[in-house]
Amino acid sequence: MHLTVTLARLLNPVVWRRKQGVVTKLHRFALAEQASMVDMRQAARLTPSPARAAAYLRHADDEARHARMFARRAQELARTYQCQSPGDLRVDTEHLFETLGERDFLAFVHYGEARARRQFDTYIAWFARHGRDKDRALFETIIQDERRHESYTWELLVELANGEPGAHRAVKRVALWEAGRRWLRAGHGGAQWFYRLTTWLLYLTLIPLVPLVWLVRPQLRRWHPKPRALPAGEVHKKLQVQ
Amino acid sequence: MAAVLGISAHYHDAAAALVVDGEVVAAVQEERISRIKNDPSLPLRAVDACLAIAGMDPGALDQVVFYEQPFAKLERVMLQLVRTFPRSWRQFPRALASQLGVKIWVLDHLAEGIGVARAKVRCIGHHRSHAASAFYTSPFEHAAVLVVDGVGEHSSTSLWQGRGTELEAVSSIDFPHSLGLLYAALTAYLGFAVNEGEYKVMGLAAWGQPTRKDAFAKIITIHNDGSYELALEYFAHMTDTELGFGPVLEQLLGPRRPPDRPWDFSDPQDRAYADIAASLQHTLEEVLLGLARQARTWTGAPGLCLAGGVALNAVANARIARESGFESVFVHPAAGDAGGALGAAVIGSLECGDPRPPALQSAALGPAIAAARAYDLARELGLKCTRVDDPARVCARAIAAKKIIAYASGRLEWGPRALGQRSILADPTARKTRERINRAIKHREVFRPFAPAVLGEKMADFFVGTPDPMTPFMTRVAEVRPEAREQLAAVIHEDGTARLQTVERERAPALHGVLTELDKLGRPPVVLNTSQNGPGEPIVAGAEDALGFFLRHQVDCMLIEDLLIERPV
Repeated sequence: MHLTVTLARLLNPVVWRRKQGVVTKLHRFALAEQASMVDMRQAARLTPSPARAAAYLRHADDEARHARMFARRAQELARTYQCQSPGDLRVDTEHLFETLGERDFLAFVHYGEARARRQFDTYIAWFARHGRDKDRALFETIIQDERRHESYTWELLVELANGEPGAHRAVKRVALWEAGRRWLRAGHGGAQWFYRLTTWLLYLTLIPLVPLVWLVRPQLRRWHPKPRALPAGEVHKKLQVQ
Repeated sequence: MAAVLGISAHYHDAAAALVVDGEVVAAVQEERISRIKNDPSLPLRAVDACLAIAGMDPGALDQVVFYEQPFAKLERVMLQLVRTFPRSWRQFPRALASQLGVKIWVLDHLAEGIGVARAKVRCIGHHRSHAASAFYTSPFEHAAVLVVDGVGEHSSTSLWQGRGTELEAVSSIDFPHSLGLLYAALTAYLGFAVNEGEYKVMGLAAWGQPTRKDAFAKIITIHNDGSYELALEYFAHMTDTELGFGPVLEQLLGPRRPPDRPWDFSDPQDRAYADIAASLQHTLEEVLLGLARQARTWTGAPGLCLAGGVALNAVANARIARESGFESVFVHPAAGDAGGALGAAVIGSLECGDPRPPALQSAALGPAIAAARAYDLARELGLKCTRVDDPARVCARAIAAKKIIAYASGRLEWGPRALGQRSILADPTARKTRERINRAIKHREVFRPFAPAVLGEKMADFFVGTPDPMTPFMTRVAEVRPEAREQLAAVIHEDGTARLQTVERERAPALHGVLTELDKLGRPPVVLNTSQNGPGEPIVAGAEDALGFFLRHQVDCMLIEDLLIERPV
């Protein structure tokens, strides 16, 4: 069994039972879909082929719709559960097309879509078992598109990689690249804690500077420097000269 | 003779602008290319776009000028962290990471990213860049320049005097007293996203009454010399970069509005929030008027230029033009941080001995749209597309037939407003049009108006007043004449005003053609003109974005230059 599926099955009861957890998870899906939409639009701009650009645009359109569906459901549940609102759909992107090049970009998208499809399958099964029809329907609708994305990206990848062996190699390459990225992200998370602790210690060393700053660099108020005001007559004269 | 690139980045709305031999050749916001709204990252894609427009290589650049002094900013941030000790404990790690990790190295990153020698990259002050963007592109020989934003290095408000090619600092007011941050705090309080929702607050204000002026008198003190001071206990922008206001503000104005609740003006609570927005708008206008009058007293200049994010408040701009005593007022179309890139480039160019650029005629300073690529793409997408002989006539007829048309022509606009290059155009007469655009595309709150574009020579038939340096760039509102209100039902705001754009042949020939054709058809030469983007998206730039927009949003048809794309009935 694939690791994604095992993990998803293990975590389903934890993730989907916590009210705030559900809202956060769905909002994260919305963010991921929105980021993917931006990536696909960038790809459409950058690919030299109008045919592939058209495919990327259709894909981007699907991702935008998915983002809206996830966000809407997250907001609905936040209202129902009276928990913290998930906020706006602000996105960031790593500019994957520019970073990886078109072939590896396609491999990455294909790999991601396949993983999402497997993950969504376990969610659908879990929601079905627990009678959560609305959430099941949401994922069932979206998974149709994920299957289509998985299949068209594979076809394009095979074309760009000059055959299936090349395509498989590209998928392995991006899987490794992604694993490296995950490792760095995990490291970043850990390093952040260490960084915060050390900077807070550093913060304490600012104490002697506090009175000094208040004394030497007081907060300035109002206009500075204060210019000399022109007499009213001079203003009038100047206006006439102009 | 020199080629100078100006850059703004690392706060919000990064941009690049290119001035060659004293002429503004290109100016592009990074968000338009990266497709990330208000993208603050180093604008290397925008730089590429500017260089491509000029047909230049990075090696041909004489200077790259960054719009802010990173070490002066670091000094202010550190001083502020110490001054607000120990309340700044949460912000300290983040501020340190952002300043020391990224921002102070910006000049090196630019040299490396663009591919120019480090010696060619320099920086100038944030407010000087803003002031330059407004003054040097204005039609004035002598003007006072008022810069009002959140904060630059130290200043949040500054006054300058421009004369010919000279730009002299007169005076300034320092952070943490800031009109931009006052507006941002109230934007967050009203449940909108900071740096994005400020327009919504301005729109909301028209639906309320300024009944909370007394409360705002406690929040901000206006002095006789035009300066102002915030009562800092109401704010948190010194210690919290995200929210901007503290619990004391909620004690004064009531609890903040939850962000996602739909607006309903039959609900007394929402009416109260609209009153708060109106009171904020009233206070802002009073402060800006005080600043402008003081600027006139100190400089004696006949013209006033406004820059900084606060200068995008079109309602306040109209009042300043009416009541400040200046003969004329100009607001740069990209008055926010993006505009600083253009100011930085012009200063660099003047220092190289080039002449001052001519007054800005048009905001179409970005890349042109490629109709041929759009044609190929539309065919691949299976869309019904045809080349038309007279796009202006086709567009006018579609508008007259009450269609909503996505219109892309020529070079992309500079600044937050779509001015007929990447617009959605529609008939301005029926309120139903507005509702349809909202339902199908924009999903805006009910209180947010749409704007009209009118033939410059016919402005007086529909609006009070005549064209001025602001109206071609949609940076002020005007009162709609009572007799024209029915004809402009879709673009009139609750208070009887509209944020209009006047269109002249020399400035926007394509849109002028559309309006002229409407006139010939016996219709008012006015269109509803709103930006071609969905909620949370940047305005479309290239052919791919335009087609993506067409797929995503239910406009009736799209015109890309002479390419007509129709939706099957």
